[in-house]
Amino acid sequence: MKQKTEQKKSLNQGGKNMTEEKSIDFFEYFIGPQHPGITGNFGVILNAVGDEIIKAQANPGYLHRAFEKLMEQRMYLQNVPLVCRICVPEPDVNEALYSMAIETLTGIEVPERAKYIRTIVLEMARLAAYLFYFGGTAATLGLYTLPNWSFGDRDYILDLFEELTGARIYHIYMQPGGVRRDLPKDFTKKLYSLLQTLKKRIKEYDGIFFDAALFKKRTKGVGVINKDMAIEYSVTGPNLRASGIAYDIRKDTPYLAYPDINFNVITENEGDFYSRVMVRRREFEEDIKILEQLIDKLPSGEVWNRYPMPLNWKVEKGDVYVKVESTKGEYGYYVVSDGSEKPRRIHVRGPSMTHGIMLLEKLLKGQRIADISPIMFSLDICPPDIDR
Amino acid sequence: MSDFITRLKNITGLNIHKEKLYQASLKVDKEKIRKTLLDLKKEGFLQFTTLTCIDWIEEKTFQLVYHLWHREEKLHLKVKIDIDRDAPIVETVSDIYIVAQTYEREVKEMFGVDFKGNKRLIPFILEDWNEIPPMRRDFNTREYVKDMYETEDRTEEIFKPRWKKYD
Amino acid sequence: MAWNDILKPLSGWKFLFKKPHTIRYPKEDKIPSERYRGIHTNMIDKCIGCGSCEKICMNQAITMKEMDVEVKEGTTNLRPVVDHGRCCYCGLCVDICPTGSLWLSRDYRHLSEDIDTFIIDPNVKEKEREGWQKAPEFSLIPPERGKMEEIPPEKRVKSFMEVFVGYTEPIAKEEAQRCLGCGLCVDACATHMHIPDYLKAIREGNNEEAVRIMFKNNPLSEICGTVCTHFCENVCPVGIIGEPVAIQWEKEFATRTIEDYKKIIDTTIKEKKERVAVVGAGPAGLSFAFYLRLKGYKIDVFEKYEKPGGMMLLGIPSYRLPRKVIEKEIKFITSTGVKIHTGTQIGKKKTFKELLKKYSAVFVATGNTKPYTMGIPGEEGKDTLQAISFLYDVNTGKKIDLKGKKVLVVGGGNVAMDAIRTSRRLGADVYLSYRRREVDMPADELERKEAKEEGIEFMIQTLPIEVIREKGKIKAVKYVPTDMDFSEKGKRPKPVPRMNDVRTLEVDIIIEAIGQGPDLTYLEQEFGESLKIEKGKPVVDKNLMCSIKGLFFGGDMANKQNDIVSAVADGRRAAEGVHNYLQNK
Ligand SMILES: Cc1cc2nc3c(=O)[nH]c(=O)nc-3n(C[C@H](O)[C@H](O)[C@H](O)COP(=O)(O)OP(=O)(O)OC[C@H]3O[C@@H](n4cnc5c(N)ncnc54)[C@H](O)[C@@H]3O)c2cc1C
Ligand code: SF4
Ligand code: SF4
Repeated sequence: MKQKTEQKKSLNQGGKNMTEEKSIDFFEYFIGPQHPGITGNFGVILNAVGDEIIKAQANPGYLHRAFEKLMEQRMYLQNVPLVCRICVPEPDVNEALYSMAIETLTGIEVPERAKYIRTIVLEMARLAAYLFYFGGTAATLGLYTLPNWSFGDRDYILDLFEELTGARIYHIYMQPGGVRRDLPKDFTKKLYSLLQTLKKRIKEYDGIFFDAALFKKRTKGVGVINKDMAIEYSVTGPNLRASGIAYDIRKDTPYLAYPDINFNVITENEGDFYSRVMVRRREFEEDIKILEQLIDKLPSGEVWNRYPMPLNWKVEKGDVYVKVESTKGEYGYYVVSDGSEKPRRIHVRGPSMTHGIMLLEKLLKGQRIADISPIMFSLDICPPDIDR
Repeated sequence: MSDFITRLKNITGLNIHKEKLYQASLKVDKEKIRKTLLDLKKEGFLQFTTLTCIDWIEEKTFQLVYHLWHREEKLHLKVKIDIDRDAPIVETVSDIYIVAQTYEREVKEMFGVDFKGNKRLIPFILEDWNEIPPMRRDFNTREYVKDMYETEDRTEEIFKPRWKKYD
Repeated sequence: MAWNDILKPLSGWKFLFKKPHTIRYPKEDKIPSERYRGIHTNMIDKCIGCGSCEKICMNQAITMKEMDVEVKEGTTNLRPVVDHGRCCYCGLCVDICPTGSLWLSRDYRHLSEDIDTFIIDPNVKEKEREGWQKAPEFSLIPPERGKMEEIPPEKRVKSFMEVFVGYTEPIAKEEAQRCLGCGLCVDACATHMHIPDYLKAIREGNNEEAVRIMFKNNPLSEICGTVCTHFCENVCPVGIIGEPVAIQWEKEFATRTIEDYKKIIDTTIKEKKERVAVVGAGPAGLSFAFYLRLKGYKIDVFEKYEKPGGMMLLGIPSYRLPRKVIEKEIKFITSTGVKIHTGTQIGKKKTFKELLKKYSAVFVATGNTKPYTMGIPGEEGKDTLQAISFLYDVNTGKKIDLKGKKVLVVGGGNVAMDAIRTSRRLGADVYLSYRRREVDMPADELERKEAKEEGIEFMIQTLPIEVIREKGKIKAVKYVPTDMDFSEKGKRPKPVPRMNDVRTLEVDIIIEAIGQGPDLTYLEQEFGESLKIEKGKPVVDKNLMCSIKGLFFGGDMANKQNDIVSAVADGRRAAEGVHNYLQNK
């Protein structure tokens, strides 16, 4: 705790002395770092007058595990089990991106079927992450029925993950060149029937949450990001779509199996808390449609093109940036190889880095303390990808 | 995309190389970075995606890579500059792209690169850090962990050739 | 905002009396999926202790520990022990394990306050609770070796040109990547060549370094690269899931990129005054001479034939081992100052005793020259040939025409293969009779395949019992099929002839290739009882010195393996032995 106070001091020094700016008394609050309403440890230092926030400073770093440094010291394959741990709610984007980057560098082709399987995994992860998000947002508003439901339903997706990949959260399933195992027997059937259940369930969620007056009243007009601001702050993903900009990486620079899939890019216009939740709520149904198409179109064949023996695997010199659309926004990997067995530099571009620091600080200014958690959650900030 | 690159080349006089996927890269002098980014922003590169620093310790340089995204033309542009590793200082771009502030903060902390003009280069993630910036190649993680947590590092033992007994 | 929106949330009440969908622990339990990645299990007897699992694990969760297990050929006594405090249950260790002995079970619960209990010995005898297991098609080791081009069979039977074209640089590099670096091959190689080291040099494109590493243990690396019996490949764990790493071809590739070994290998010598004699310029004699010369001794090699090389020159046909390869390596050996006196047979004019007097030590490696015979009726005659003398004749340039003749070769070793394929190249129709099953053949699998491609008929599990002659000439052979008797456990199955089922095959010539032994008559004459002999071979100590001081033996005449590497290994060991002997005298 002592260390934190020291840092607080330096934060104040760096960010100008507040008392000079405004000659009124304010309180300094520390929100977090124990899960302040988001999926991970993260802190916000507030200056508030009464209930009104006059300044907020994001204080990340509680989940720093030096992944980027670690990756420089491991052989290429050894990073596969590592990367997924960067993001808890949606780990699979990391696996997909890491593999895609290595594939682009080495020129290893991914078999069609593997592309589809990867897309299925990504979309399943998206559903799971959205269920997490719904539950979380509701919880930050003090509505605890939805989290109980949605976390329970998420577990059915995790069950399928367990069957497919052998693990529930960190799947370590994709590897450069494809995936680590083919689909188990009857997997698509089970997935299909789960999708039907989820379709029904989301309607039930509507009843208790999305259509509820309480929710609407509480969230409309809160934490507004308008179009210009969204562009200025380089906002991506559902947060951007909530501000009325129809932009989705899956559509614009389609990867894996997305070129073959029909889906709509969902937008809302208000850019407020409500829109951000509703974009995701509507995308949930869209993703179910995507998954149904993927199941229909799933080709047969190989699922992995091998790479050289991993202990002696050298990747060609070069650098590449790859990105995918995650539930939180643009997730990117920048991989630099110097031609040796270990990567020279891997830079993980998490969407929360843009959303979680400057944008959040801006949004919180002028809000009430009770709005902090909901706003943070509505942006779907994931501290582990800020810290890495 | 190629059309756009040619157009961009003509307008800005920059030497842009098209690369794999939706990418292109561009190398400029360290002094020109602000002007380049200003020009590019005018051309429609509105999204500042990220800023990466790479430590080429052998060549005594840090390479900074500014990642920009052009939404309409679907082009991811990597603007690269080399800076001297012994005097790592460069002008900030945080007034051109607001979010760059955070990224510069991180690079400052992890690599020790200074950004002249960035108003908020305050500590970001690390706490009570007294060593050299940790993402530099010459910072030895294993040594650090050994001292800090008293764990053993078995790398050498694991990769030690068993057949040396026949020498 | 509609009234409806206020009432809707009440719809949640409809679940009040529904059965909960959660698992009621501890009454109910969830069984993990079939692929679940839980706590490790390892079949202790199947595991070969290669240590690949330890190397791939990025968490250093696996430690190879010495255990009380039987160490067979191609295994070690090391077995994995897993620290589950470190493991992240990725299963990479399972996917790289070449034997499939290791898997992740479906157990995942382990609760303890004592961190030491997290270090688990996963070794078991029986399979249990299998979760994430090896799937051959997803093994991390590429199963196929780099393709080697070869001359098509119809073309190659017409001449004695080399069958294999050799690796190209990219393929050689790719192939060298397949090495796991376990070093089991080093244990298996008679002369313990540092295989993983030179494969590493090859994949880094540093062929010179690779060759330098090779020559530390084997001055006949190129020859071995061409015709070695490659026991290293037989134990290579990659061979369990696919084709073993092509160690031999890699060696051939690297050595052939070097034109003159002298340029890259340091052969500066600090002269000593002692002189050492070598009898026989086969691989054993040559490598002995090379290594002892490097230590500074003056070496004289005495060879019966007019060219050095021994069986490599006189036995192995040139389509397998081009003569320029032998010349290149011998040239390098003599360039260090080794003197070879050809056309000098020891035991006739010059005696071994004389050598022992004149020189500080004598190394004898005269090889196996006495062929064994079948001992069946009608066997003796000019048209019953011995494989080694037949090959000797062919290799020394004697004109032998077998066009249109029917030749029966008896035996199943590499000598038999050479005899059949040489006869085929001389125009004969060739049959091969072998008394055991094909899998029991000592001959190399690749050579068997090639021989068949060249149109040679294999008569497996047959035993000749009589040669029928007409006017002194062979007319036919009577033979019987055999059955295999597996009753003796742990031994090769015994062939049992089916004596009531006699068949005949018309042939013109018989070539016997059923083995050979050393000819020790000269030595016996000279030394009599003082030279200890057991089972036809002189008895030697670990320095390869026999019962007579200063007299060393090596190569085919002293070892059991009877191949080039073993001869080289003997030469190297004897060089060490002689050096020790002379230093301590
Ligand atoms: C047909 C055939 C094919 C083979 N193929 C292979 C193969 O593919 N791979 C493999 O690894 N091994 C092979 N071998 C075995 C290999 O050739 C021998 O194991 C090896 O050559 C033994 O070496 P050495 O030095 O002990 O004896 P040798 O090579 O037999 O050399 C002995 C030398 O001593 C000379 N000599 C004998 N008596 C005297 C004397 N009194 N005075 C002076 N000199 C004398 C001989 O002329 C000969 O040059 C093959 C053998 C044969 C016969
Ligand atoms: S990789 Fe497999 S065979 Fe090799 S030591 Fe490990 S468990 Fe044993
Ligand atoms: S499962 Fe992964 S972390 Fe665990 S021992 Fe195996 S390789 Fe190491």
